[in-house]
Amino acid sequence: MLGLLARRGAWSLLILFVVATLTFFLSRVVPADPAAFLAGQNASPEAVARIRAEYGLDRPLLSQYVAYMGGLLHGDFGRSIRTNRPVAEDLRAFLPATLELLIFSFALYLLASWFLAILAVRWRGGWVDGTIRVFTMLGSGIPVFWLGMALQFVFFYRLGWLPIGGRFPIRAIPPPPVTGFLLIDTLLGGNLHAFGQALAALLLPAAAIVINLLAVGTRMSRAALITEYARPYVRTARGKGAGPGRILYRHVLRNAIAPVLAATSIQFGYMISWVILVEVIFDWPGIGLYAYQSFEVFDYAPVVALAIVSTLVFLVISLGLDLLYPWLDPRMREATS
Amino acid sequence: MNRYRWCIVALGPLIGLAASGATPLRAAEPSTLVWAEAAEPATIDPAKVNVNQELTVARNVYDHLTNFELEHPDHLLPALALTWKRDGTDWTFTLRHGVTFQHGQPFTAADVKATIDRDLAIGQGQSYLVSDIKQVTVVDPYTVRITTQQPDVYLAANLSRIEIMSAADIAAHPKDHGEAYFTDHANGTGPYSFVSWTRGEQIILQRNTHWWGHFPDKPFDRVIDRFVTDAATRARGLEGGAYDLANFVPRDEALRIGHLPGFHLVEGNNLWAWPAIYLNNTLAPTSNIDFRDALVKVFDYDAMTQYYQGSSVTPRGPIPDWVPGSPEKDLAPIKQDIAAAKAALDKSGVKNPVMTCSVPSGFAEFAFAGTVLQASAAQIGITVKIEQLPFVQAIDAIKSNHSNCFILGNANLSPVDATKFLAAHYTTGGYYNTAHYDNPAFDKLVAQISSVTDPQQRYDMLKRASQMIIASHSIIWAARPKTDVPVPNHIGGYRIDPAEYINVRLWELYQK
Repeated sequence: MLGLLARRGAWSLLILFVVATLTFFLSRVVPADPAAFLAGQNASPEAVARIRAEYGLDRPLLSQYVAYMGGLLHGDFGRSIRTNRPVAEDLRAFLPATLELLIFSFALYLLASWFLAILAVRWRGGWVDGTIRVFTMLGSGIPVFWLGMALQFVFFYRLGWLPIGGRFPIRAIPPPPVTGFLLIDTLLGGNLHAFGQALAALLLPAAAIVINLLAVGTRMSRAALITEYARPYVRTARGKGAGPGRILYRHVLRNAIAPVLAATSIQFGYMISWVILVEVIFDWPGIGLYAYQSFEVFDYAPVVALAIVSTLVFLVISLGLDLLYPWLDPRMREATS
Repeated sequence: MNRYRWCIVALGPLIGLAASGATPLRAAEPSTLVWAEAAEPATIDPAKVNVNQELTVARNVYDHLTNFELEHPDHLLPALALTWKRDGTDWTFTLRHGVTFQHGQPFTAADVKATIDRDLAIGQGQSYLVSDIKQVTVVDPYTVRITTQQPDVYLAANLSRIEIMSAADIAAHPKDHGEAYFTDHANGTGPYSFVSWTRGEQIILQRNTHWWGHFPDKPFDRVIDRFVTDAATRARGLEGGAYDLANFVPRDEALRIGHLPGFHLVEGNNLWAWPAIYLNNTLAPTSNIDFRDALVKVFDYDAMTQYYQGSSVTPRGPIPDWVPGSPEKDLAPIKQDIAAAKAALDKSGVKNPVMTCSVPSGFAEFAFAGTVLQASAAQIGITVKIEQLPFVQAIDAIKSNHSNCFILGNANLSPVDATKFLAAHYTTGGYYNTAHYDNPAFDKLVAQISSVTDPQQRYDMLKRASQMIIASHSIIWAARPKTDVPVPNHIGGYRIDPAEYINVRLWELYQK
């Protein structure tokens, strides 16, 4: 296990280095002058030059790269021209919102895809199976941004059930930040109503992300369940008098989850990429929205930092899922040992 | 069914909690106003604020020496200054007594001096409006003398855009002129005070009950300046009641929402051209003046008028007729003339012309104007390639001579002074002079206008400057639309400021 962790750690560092290097140079390939833009339309040339010097934009590209990578080793992601703050400080402010949305969406995705898959297998070939197939295929065919707007239209505008955006009702006062995760902070404050408000705010953006991924998740889970149901151990269990619930939860589900896990980490990668769109549409103050605003003005430091952080989140989740694999499947445990 | 009972048991309370937390559509607190802003400000430092979202806080938290009537921008009103007079290069302002900053310091002439000195030292934001200032002298605590490099008839009006800060605050943050501190701290004498800024979400302002000015009955005690990046979300949120007002709602949506029950439209002038198409004078084929002439003549202006559903005019020149001193009415109308365009193209001698146009993304009107240019130019055999790019990249493409044309919207922050706008857009080195128009005679003329005291002479000079730009065929003023803002019927007092992008004078708003 330690060997696996060391190998994955080394690979992760290499990947992060490559991502940082590529993003650094790619972001600067595009001709743009963020200093001139942010100094304002009528800024004096001296003011623009001062900003360029302050942010090191007047130095040769290689020198900027060396300085940036040197800073990274000390956890310094540089300074944002747009917010005039250290990028690390901005990330601390924006990351909890994104992580909360991602984790909630991921949990919702796992629950929904397995729930639908179980229903589809239970009534395999019938109208339930067909309805689920059509629903999930439609969901995967609809672009995330359009789906987000449609959800807003129905659940905010038409029905008035859920907020249009943001993490908390606009006119209400959010709980004092402790962890930055509103679901946790509201519970820590013992405020169940506020917890409900935070949960309600999560539902639409999470749904926009999840519905789009459900087709793949449900189809994979359904196929895995069908494969497992066809195995001899299920016949044996039935012969021994085990009920359908026991067969499903004690035997089939556990065996079916393992092969789906690898693909699940890829699905998580999609979630990260869609977070930018969803955060913009739902006014969600996370790193996706931060990234969008930074891209708009070619604010280089946040762009590189966000690529690094997104990659890191993806690597951590992938590693976590890989570690779950042998835990769920004894055969893998034996192979690993 | 028993098998799924656990699901219901587990999810039931969660769904119940979410349902209990669902937001009601209408405001729970009637004295709170939610203003949906198109973006988060980069700074609220009055010396650096430059774009709409930054001006929202500055305009409402700080006061200015002067104010002006929105319907008659050349009629100045007292604000922190009660009276003013000009004598040659000297302006003397008599200041209001008994005004205090929100943090408690009394307002005096020293604050005016410290503010203007700081603005000029930083050289960003709106400082270009007062860049002629040579010296600020404190005559006594309530009298300040401002000396300009040459007589400047527009100074008092332009000071209506300069936010006055506290000298004590400025002195307390000497490092980098306090740029880091004032990025997210504000202390003015204005109608609203700054409370908090939650990054990525909102800024909260509180009504300053000690303000020297007058609030209408039932003003808003608390204002949430909410950052809502997506235009469709702003529109839907306004329509659904999540926001009370919103800026930059897409035009078709604004017109639709404004006609819904419970809303009304507020219409006004603030746009000088929206959009304007700048033609690069230094890159072939648009470096050829006859070729540019052909483009100006072939452009389908009627298509733009139809796009704006009749709520726009085709500009005759750079300065709208509703701007005091505008020569617009004495300029010839500009309209499509395909035969004349063909003749101009023949005269240019350019064969099989192909040109590139950089269009900043995110503005439907700009994209439409680009398409109109493309279709119009095709009628006389000119191929226009459109490239939609983020704003910074698009403007860099033309400024670095990689593109033939650039599309931009025009507005002016000064209520009466057109020369600062002309300087930014047409003089050599101006940031928005993306046509690379280079005419020393024009530069000299524009620089002289503000020093001329005779209004008729100034009018003639503005007319001459406008004619020079028109004759250069450096720009296609595609349309000059009115601005329409949908306002819920429960809000009164909203007006469009002609010297502003779409913004809000919070102190004029009230609940109906």
